[in-house]
Amino acid sequence: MGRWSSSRDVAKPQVTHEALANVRANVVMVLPFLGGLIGVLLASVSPIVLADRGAISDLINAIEAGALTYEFHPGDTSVYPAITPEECDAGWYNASGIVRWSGAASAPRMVQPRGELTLPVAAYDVSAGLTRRLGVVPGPDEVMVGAAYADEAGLRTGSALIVDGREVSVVVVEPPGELRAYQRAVLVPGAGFPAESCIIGLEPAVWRTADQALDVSLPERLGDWFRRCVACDQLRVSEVAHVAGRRPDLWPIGIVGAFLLGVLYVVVRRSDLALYRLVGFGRSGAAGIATLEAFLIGVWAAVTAMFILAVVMTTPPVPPRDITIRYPLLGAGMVAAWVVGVAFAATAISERRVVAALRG
Amino acid sequence: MDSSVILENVTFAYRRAGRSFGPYDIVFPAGEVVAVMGPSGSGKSTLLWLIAGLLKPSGGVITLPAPAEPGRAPVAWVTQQNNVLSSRSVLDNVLVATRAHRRPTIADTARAEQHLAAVGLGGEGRRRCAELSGGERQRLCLARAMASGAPVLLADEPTGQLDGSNSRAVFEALRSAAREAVVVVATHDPAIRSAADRVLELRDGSLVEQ
Repeated sequence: MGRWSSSRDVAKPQVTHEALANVRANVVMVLPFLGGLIGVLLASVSPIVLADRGAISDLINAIEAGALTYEFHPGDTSVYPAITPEECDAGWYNASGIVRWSGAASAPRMVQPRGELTLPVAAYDVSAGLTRRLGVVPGPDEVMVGAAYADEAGLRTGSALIVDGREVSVVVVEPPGELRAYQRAVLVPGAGFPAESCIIGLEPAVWRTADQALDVSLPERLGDWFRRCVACDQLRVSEVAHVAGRRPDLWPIGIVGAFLLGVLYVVVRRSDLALYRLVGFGRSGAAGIATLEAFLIGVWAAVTAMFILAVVMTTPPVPPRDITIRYPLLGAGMVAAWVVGVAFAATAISERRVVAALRG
Repeated sequence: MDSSVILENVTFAYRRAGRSFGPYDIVFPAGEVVAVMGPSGSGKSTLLWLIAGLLKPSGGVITLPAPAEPGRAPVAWVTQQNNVLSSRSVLDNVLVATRAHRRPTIADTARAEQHLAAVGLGGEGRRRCAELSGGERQRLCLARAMASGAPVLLADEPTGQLDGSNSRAVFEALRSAAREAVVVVATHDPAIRSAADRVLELRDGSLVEQ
């Protein structure tokens, strides 16, 4: 083997300057890759987001139909420390399937006796699911009163009550089966569904017979999964969304796609990279410029894709934080694959390929 | 250290194509413009790539002079394809050789502008290269090579795509570059042959005339 001999001290190539200047000056060349990378990110992450949102929608529908229990338990913070007592207290819960509800979530509301009503009474916020289970469609100024208590207190449908300082009209109801505990209670229809960081209580007696008891059916994917998971009696919303989401797992394709896009970037930029080699940047310097350019484009694409997804995710149902963390992680993985693709291809340019690129 | 480029018994082979070049025993002294002539495929460009270190010789030793400034590349190039960073400015393209080893100073910028003026591109530093004609790009490449401060300047068909006046301008610039560097030009251009200080004739990879 021959020898090529020249002395050259260690240089400090201005890699950062060149990469920044190239990205700034080369917008026409950068934009297609930026668009391609955003496309890869969205095509890989969006199906997961949509699947999660779909699963949460199904879950909310099932809870609001009265087929599932939706609970906030201060006691559950030992199992799920992320749920704070404040969240639990602020929570709205569905009593239709409540089998294990605990005190804090169902703290009695203030009911002022009026007229002939003199007995103390507990009032609870209740869901559309429970009212459906009771077979009642309450109006905006109506509350439901269990038949036993109504009898003791001398209340009839149409009687007046003061609940939280507001005068409301009574609808007397006869709670069936598992809801007999509400025979001596006032039930105040609630609204809204703060679906983040919640616990789903699974009571087979409720969800297995939802179609008979409530004339509703569980979405197939939820029902399928619950049947496989009869041992689970409590789950987070995020766990249900994660398992029942049935997302198409496109992210490995996205990783490969981002890597190949990086290789293509080097193919398109080979002439400039060869020039950098020619003027003395060397293999690592030229590869460093391409890699830094790729990093800048990758960050740009990730921020844009995150903005687009954030707009989608601000409309309900909002996925819980503990599953949304996967979205930026997957995005970061794809940006990393893109950068690695560029670094790999740029480093792999042999001296002969430099010659070929310079000869056009 | 000698300021010449010295090739001692240098050989090279493209194994896949089954082609071999050399052996070459050549000294390229500073201060001369040496033209390397020969038909296409005779090995002119290969000889230049070998000197530049872009191809590794199969045998023999190539010795280059050390750059005057530590960290500088020993070789500067002017190619037929007039390779430039098209989206960048003319001045950026000249300074890129300096950026290969350090941040350019104000003096570097002033020198770059002098070299641009020497090749007829004075005052054009802010223009984008995409706006330059082929001849202007070629002269820009020459200014970049001269500004690099490399002790060896290699030019591969530098006038191949230029008209007569541009060719003369490029050769004059090469001539002035030879005051400070070894200048080797691979060319078919008879005008350069007649103006060069020395001519090397290659045929089928072998040196047939010095």
